[in-house]
Amino acid sequence: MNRRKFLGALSVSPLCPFLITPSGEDQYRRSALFWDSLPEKKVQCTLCPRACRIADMERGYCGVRENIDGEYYTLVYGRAVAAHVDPIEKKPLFHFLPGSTAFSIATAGCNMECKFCQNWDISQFRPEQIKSVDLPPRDVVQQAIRTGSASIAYTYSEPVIFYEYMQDSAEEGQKLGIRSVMISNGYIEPEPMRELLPLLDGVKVDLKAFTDSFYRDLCAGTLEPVLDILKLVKERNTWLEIVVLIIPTHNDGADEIKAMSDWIYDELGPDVPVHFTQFHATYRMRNLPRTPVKTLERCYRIARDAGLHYVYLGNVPGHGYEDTICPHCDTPVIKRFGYTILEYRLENGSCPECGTAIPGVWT
Amino acid sequence: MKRRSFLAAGAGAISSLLTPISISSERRSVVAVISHSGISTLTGKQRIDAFHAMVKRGISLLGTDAFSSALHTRRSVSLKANCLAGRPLSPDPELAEALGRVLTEAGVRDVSVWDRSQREMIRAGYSAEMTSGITCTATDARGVGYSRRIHEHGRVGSLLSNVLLEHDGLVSLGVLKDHDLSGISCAMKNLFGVIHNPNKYHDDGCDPFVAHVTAMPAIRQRLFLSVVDATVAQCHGGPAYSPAWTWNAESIMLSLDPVALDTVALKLIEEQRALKGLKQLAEEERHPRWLETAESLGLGTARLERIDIREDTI
Repeated sequence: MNRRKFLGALSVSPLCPFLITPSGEDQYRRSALFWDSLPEKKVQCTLCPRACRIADMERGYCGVRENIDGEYYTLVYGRAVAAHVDPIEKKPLFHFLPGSTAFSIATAGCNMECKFCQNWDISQFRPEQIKSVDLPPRDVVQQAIRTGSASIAYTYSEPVIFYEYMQDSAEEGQKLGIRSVMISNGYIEPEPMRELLPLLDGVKVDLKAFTDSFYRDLCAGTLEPVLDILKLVKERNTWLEIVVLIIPTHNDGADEIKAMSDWIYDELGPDVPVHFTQFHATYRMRNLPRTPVKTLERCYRIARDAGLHYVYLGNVPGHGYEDTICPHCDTPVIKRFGYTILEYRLENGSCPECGTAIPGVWT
Repeated sequence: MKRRSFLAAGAGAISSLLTPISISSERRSVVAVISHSGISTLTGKQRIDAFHAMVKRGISLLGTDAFSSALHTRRSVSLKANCLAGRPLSPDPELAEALGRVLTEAGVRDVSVWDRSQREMIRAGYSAEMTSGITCTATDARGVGYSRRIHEHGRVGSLLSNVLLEHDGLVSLGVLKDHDLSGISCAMKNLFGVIHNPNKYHDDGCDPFVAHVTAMPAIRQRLFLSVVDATVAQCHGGPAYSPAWTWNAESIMLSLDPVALDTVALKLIEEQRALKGLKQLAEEERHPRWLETAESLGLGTARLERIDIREDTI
């Protein structure tokens, strides 16, 4: 028999369809948060700015939230497709427990489709299309403790779309002293973000560009909601860092970087760390070279000239702009090589030379 | 080279010899609508035989030579069924059997009926026990899966089901039904089940995405026939089964032109909506604009005045 004859492969009677779903798909299904009922068994998702209107038996843009008979469900609760112990610097969070590790998890799915996504092999798939492991929130926290991780990072794909799983994991972690950081595109409605923030200790947002056309053309998203979330995170005093992946010819213009830096300075203040990181060809953008280091250095100078205190370059290990410099006396207070801390000189979160407080989560 | 990649490469090589659908907007397309007033009462072999007669009649209305030319030298054909809505509103397995028989009689050696999910196929009534020798499979069956390479066309970038790639011919086997976002889901929208990420392409009424999926070279080269099961049809509340909005059309529709078939399907759905006092799709901002986009890409004709609707009753 051909090995691809599916019923043969299943080794079950075709008359017993329930046998193919013993505890597979359905064990990860939970009632979703943030949606409204509409007539004719439709639902309106209110989790992210896409505001998907979803008919019965259909899924939202993210591919992981489904309307089943007029009720809305997440299909990825406890369904991890990635679970690793990473240096916190890899997120990157440079002002958050430097040198610590984060137990990092993801599910399938994303509410954007960035043509340059570096994790498209999980973010652009439906949960049933990727191998996953059963990792409920309690186990996430236990794994974090067992691996000596100081935090849980919700990362790799897009944690907005596995909101319920992230929320419960963060809550479990909080009870046991494990912190939580959200590594996100920031494409979430303010209300769910407000509810989530008390459970989070840090947020890193990918600010993908500073033009709406970039968001629309290359990410299938929009800029304004992301800016609103950046302001919200800052207002709520949750630790915030920003990453900007610099893509040659698409978002590397000096005017755009200047406008972005000015906005960050005006709306978020000079102390929010900004990481300009190097692009490499991937997914649906394979025809561009790596970002020249000179371009990244120009972005750095523009942001510093705009008054931002903590600007870093990423994906260029060994570059001097990976270090944290005291903005008052120019003393290097944390020296790095890639994800490695070479020298840590902060004393109670302050510069050892001049005593200037360096903002961050240090203990 | 692995067997799978060998098969894929082989199928691609064969397909590249075939003429992709490219229908001049100046030529009239034919859509056959075959009715059988007793089809809903038949079961088992009688039902398959009835569908077989309907398919044969439909092909004769399309033109036997035109069908043979479209089939060309294809020796393996997959029937992409749309099984999302369960047994009541999916292509009838007996229709798939009948189609398989017709294709086998025409010289095709390997016929498979498939959809993306085993679970959905079983719910729609498909099983391994197909009597005509056709194979049931699904993209999520063990060892099948999706292509490794991203296939891109226009605004679509997707992995494609290996079931598609391992056959050199494709029949879209859809149903006549309404769709909440794309307006209708009949022949072309069914092809969203070929790609791994259909959820990314439902914005803007699925325009231009339905057209761009159909125009992907790996699909366009293989697609030579579209069949829509209209034994039970639905004019509102789709894509799920919504019995309040169904009617027993007791017919099937066939065309070599998927755009023309969907254009006629739209007409039938709009007529039923009017009969039931529903607004036209355009009034609900659900008119399938992707039909015009598809015509602009040379996939077929979306103008009713250029379509011959040939009807017959068994």
